[in-house]
Amino acid sequence: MASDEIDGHLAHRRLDVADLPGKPDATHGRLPHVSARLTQVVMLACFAGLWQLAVIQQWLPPQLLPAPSAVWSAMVDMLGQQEVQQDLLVTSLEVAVAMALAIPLAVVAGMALAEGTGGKMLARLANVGIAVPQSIFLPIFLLIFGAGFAEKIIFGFTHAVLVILLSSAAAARAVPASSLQMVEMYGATRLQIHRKLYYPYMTPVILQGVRLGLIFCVTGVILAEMYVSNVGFGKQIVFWGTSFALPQLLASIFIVGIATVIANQALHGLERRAGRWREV
Amino acid sequence: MSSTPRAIQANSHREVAGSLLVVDNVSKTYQRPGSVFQALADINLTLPAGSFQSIVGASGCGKSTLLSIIAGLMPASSGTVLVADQPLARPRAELVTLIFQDPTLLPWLTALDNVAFPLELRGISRPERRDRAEQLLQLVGLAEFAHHYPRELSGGMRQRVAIARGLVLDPAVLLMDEPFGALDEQTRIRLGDELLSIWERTRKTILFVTHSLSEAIYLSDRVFVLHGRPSRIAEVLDIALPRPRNLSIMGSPEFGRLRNQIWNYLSQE
Repeated sequence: MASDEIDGHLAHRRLDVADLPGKPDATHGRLPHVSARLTQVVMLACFAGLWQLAVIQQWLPPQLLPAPSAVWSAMVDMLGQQEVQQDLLVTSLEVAVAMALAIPLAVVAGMALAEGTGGKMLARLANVGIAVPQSIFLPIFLLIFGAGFAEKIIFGFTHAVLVILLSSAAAARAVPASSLQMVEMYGATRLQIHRKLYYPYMTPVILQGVRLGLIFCVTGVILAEMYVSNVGFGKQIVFWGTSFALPQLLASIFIVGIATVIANQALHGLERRAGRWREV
Repeated sequence: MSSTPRAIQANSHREVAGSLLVVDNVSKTYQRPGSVFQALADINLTLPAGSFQSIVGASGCGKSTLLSIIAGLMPASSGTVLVADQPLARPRAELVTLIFQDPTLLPWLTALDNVAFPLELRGISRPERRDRAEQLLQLVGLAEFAHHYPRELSGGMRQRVAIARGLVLDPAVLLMDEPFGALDEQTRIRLGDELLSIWERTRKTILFVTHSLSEAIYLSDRVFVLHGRPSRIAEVLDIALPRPRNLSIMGSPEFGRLRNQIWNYLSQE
């Protein structure tokens, strides 16, 4: 069709704008987001208030429930110590390496699992694998890999990889068959099919899996450190627990919890950005 | 005004010379362990350049399968598809483009980028593909919605974007697989009318699949009736209603006669 033929002869036709679903208002999606944040802050404040009240009223012995201010002081003090900083760094590094290994492997395997003929059987195996608590295998990991940096990374990796793999497979299966036919019909190469169709469709769902996988990975790494290691933040938690130093123990737990929540929220932000097209 | 039912075999062999699309004795059989199912048998079609032809048939009679074979998306068990005398064994959207019932727009792309998508796959420069996509959006009356995302468009508008995308590679043949099937009757009639305007303007060769008898008669020069098990071309009707057509033609006695005639073929056991 010559371009001069296309002169908008239909432009005169009245468009049924009333039929439109409506362009989402920029503030439309933001309000619930702000409301959720506010709810979180209020809940946190209520928790701290209840905690302080429990200390004042001595609902629990002071040895078991230190005041929030004592835990806060312990946290500030701990974060200033070089040894704690090093342990935090080691744990963060182990988690980062484990996730860096798990994510690409799980995404590729998940896609192969979704596309391959033996996909259903592999998915069942992965589902069985994820249903078994992996912590019971820790002694075996120690026997095979020893008690070093690698063992903790591998333990974190195995905790995360199945979760991400299953979410990747689910994401690949969610790509509409008609869209796949459409890009094939327009002559997309295999690489283009992955870049232009699979990845945009899959990324938000994969990021959901990565968020969940991160929590599993942190659990695996900290568990391995608590069990045997002489470096890493898991060791700190065990040390303060066995020393009955409740302010430091609670501070350690909060440090891990807050760091994980921050990482999770950052991933959630990426997920929202990648999945903006899903918002109606 | 007259219609001329006759056997398609005779028809196709007579008209192969000079036809843009020739479907020659195409059959499709699905084989599974312990079972064989023949979906299509000895399908012969010819589409002269610039013609608008339709296939009607009951749900599940293999209309979509036939279009997938013609588009090169699915191999035929036997027979050949020729476009401009060249066999078509794989998708070649610059020759034959299929427009699906589902608009299959990519939800993260704007209407403009969706229309330009086939050009992007071919490595055409951004300004060139934008120009082309803008022209086609204007053709389908959606120029002012170029930067809207599919979720911001109505069902009819999405399908018009899909039609614009189908035209972007300037294909010789446009296959349309119940493109308005998921729309309400009012939108469907209006879009059919707009499709006729686009066709009259571009004179693309169109093979349109529908289960709406009225839609097939209103739009087409010729209607193929797909029927039986396995499905065959049971009848061919030339639609000699005058063009340009408008919706009032649907109330004419000839329109009603053609509709009844197709219905009689379809309802035969």
